[in-house]
Amino acid sequence: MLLPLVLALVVIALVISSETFARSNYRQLGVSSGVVLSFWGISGFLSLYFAGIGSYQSYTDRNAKVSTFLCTLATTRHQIFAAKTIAAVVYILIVLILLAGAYVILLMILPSRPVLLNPSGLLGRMIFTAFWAHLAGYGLGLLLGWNQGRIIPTFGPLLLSIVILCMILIKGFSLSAGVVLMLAAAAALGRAWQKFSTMPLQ
Amino acid sequence: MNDMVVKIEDLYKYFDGRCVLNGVNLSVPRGCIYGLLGRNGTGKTTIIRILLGLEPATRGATELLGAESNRLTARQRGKIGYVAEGHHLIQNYKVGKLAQLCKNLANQWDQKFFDHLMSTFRLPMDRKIKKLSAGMRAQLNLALAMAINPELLIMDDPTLGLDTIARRQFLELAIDLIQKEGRTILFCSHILSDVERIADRIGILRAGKILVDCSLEELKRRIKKLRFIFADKAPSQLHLNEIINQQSSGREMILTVANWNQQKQAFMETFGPASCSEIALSLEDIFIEC
Repeated sequence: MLLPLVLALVVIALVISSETFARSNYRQLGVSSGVVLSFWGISGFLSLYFAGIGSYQSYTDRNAKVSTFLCTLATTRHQIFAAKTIAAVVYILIVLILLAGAYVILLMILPSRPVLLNPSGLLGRMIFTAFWAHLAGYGLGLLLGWNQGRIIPTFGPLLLSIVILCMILIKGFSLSAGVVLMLAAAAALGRAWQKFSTMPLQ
Repeated sequence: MNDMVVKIEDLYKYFDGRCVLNGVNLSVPRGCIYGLLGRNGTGKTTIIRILLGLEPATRGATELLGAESNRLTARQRGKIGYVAEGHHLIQNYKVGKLAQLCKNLANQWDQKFFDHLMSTFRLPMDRKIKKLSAGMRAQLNLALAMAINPELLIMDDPTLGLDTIARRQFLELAIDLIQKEGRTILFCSHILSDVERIADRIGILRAGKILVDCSLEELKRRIKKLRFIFADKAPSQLHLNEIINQQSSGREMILTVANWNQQKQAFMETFGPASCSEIALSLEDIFIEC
């Protein structure tokens, strides 16, 4: 189910980017701009998706008392949180690997492939930045989901995704953007872990 | 060797400035069935939640199986069975899937015993938890808690929602469990006849404090309800220590008193009662008097 979704996203993004590329001002920048733009759009959607997953997990956990039940079995809160995070990391990696694979396959068809697959490692930087963007989205989503009301858990991820996207737009898919997002992910997950370890489980 | 399976020292808990537990001290020795009693809102569930590390204490220390409650390892948690009030299981799971999850996470799992309980309770493995009745959820929760062969079984109002037959089955199971060497049960219940049937030690919680903590026999021995008939009018005021309840009507006086002894008896005899008889007290009577 995930693979067709990713492929569909890539096709849509490429169509949009080729339309964008067709415009004269983008043509000067080269085909890689279209690729970057489409990847930026997909990253935004996926950041929102992972922030939504984190928010939904916390919200349903609090309401359905899943962690409360698990904590009465032979598990600790740290193990529960570690399991959640590892599952999220694996999920993000699978999505990104599929996404990268789909990009490589589809761009092989385009005449501009040397631009994308050149030694400067554009695709690698994009994947690196996107990974930390998605993980930061997930961590912040986890934090938002613990709010009592419904508004913050529902609309918070959208706002966060916009912030993350703006940051990537300003900094570009670069190592520095990746490092900033890595720090954001570490801070969000650290705070979520601290909160989950000490809060009362109703 | 410290043989206290549950240990609570000077436990305080405040919720939004309201004191729920006001310096609770409690110890449950290994092999004991401890019944914790108290009216609604006296803090029984809070004590259990703090013991299990689900709720932080405001002050004080709690230990389970020799380890601090908030530092219990997964292995130590695996030795504790818990039947929660309201039976919060994972609602979207089917019974079979939940049992499999518990089995996978357990230190040890007695499949034969679990299957026996499932057939005794007639629980369907393919039904979702949210589609089960409250009684069935209670039975499932109990079966899951028992299948791990727990060293300590903690139950918060476990028979709530069970019919008479299921309650009887449940009590028999609890007795079966305790007969295994070294097993301990801590439970609270509003059904005092159940507590009376299986508990060998009682704690009564009132106003955030443990008012009574002794064996059931000792409790019954210590608290006496006496009917005095006097030749004239019964005295309206008695300067006697540890009176729990006193009712006078005409020549009759009914007195509930703690730690009844020869000195107290001698004191009462100075009023020259025509007769004195003891009224038998059940645990429920004692609970109401206290």
